[in-house]
Amino acid sequence: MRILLVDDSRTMRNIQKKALGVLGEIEVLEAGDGVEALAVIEGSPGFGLMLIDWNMPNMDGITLVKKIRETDKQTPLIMVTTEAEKARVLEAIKAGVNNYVIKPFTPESLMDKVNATLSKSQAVAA
Amino acid sequence: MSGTSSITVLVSPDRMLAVVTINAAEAPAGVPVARLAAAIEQAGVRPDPEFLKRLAALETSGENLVSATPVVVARGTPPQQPRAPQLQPVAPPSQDHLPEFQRCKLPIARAGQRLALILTAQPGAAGIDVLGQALPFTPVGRGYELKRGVKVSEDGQWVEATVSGMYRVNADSAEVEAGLSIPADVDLSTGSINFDGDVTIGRNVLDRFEVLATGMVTVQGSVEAATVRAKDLVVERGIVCKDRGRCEATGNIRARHATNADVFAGGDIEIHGEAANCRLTCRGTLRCPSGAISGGVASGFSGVVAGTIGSPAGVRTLVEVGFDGELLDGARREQAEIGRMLARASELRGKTAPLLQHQRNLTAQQKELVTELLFEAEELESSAKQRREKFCACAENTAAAVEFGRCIHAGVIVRWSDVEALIPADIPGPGTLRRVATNGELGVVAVGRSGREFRLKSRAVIGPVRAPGSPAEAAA
Repeated sequence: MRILLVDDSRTMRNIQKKALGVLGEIEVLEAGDGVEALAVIEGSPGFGLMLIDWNMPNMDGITLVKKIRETDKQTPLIMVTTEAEKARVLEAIKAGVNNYVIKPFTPESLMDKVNATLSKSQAVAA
Repeated sequence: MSGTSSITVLVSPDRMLAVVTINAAEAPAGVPVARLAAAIEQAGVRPDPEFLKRLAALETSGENLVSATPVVVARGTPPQQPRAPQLQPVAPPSQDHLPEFQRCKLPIARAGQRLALILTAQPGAAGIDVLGQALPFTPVGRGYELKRGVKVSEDGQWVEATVSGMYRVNADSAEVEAGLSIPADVDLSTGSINFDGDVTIGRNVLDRFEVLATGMVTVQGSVEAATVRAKDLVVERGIVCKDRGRCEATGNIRARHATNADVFAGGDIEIHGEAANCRLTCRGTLRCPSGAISGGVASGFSGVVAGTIGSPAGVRTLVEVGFDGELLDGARREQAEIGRMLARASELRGKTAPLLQHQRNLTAQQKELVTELLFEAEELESSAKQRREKFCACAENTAAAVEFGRCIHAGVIVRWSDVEALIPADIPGPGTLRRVATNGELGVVAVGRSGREFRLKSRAVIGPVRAPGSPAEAAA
């Protein structure tokens, strides 16, 4: 499975990448902001999952989610962010994210959300 | 040669060149073009277009041909010889970066290695001589021959080895003989060997050379102060490392005798004769059933079996049994490191716990920092767990015993991971030494020829159990 990590913090991307390692054979691509992410998606479509930070330079996560959902309704998207207010969560879900991980998170809590999202998306596809 | 008295047409013996000479004494004003053309025709020569042009120019201007030197009338075209497909051997990888003794002088290929570039065939073309006759080319054979152990690569451009072995490649053929058999010594003429497969050496491995093989290495002579690494190793004479070389095998090692040798086997070590002043370490059983282990360190994880251990002169001999000192010491160091890692993880968790309870008050940066700390704690705990498992994997084999057929001499130290005993007086064999734990008290018991079991004076082993570095050091 191919996974795209979008976060302006390299450390945070590394943390997510290590945590995702338990999924087995995965290919992880990274982007530092929304603009870069769109370029990656255009150049190499077909991701099985995307983890997107909210606050990023150039293009923020919520705008990126909206852009992705204009053309792709299927790929599971998880917002990984410090934005914890209910209104923000609702905004993200409305924009099209499938799940929401609030920082700080542990590797287990991240993987719980990832596994739940993937299971749900597979069930829908079936 | 033909012509009139003033004109001579000369054709070279190979008919590749025709010239005309003008006798200036007989024709001081040169010769007319018509006479010249007639003489050339009479000689049967087909003039080159350049010469015909020159004649035409002279005819137009009404001049004669005047020349004190021979004038080229025609040149032949030699045939273009065809070329059969050929092989261009690939130069072996450079070894300039390696010390002299580590360089291999033998043409050794690994399976899949490119050996030669295939040069495609070139068609031939007939030539023509100055008399207009065709010059045929010489037909060539069908090209190179691929013998055993080679194939053409998928792209059709290379010849590759299908097996590992010694190769012979020239323009006409390529071959790889599977396996590696060196009839004489491993010395300056062969260089060191690094081979993917089995190796047989007809004589000795000399000082400072290396033999590294993924398969079995059989040395029909001795291993001197050299390095040998193999899956299994058989030395039909002795391992005589002079305190410098080392023999290692992931499997078993067998030799007739060993002296001042450093030998390590993942399986068993079997020495038929004497093992003197060696460091012998194996994770299986160290066997020297009809010989003697005298001096140095002999270590067998599953046990040690020898005819005689030690010597009447009391040479210092250490027998380690039921543990791998290197692994165990490493594991003990590891245990300390594991403790440090867990303490750090606990410290991190202590720092993050209050922050997690008041997440709402945290800034975005603080939240990211907490995530990082939590992750670091997780990593430390996971790494500590892995290390602990590794530590458990090198558990001691406390049931392992030392067996001796003839005698174990006074002065020999027999050591398990947690207890050791100094043999106080010669014990005649056959006999056995075992570790015992009675009511929580560790000890070493011996059973000699009489069959009577008696407890040796023993002491606990605390701290690093690894014996000193070299056999000489160990004996000191």
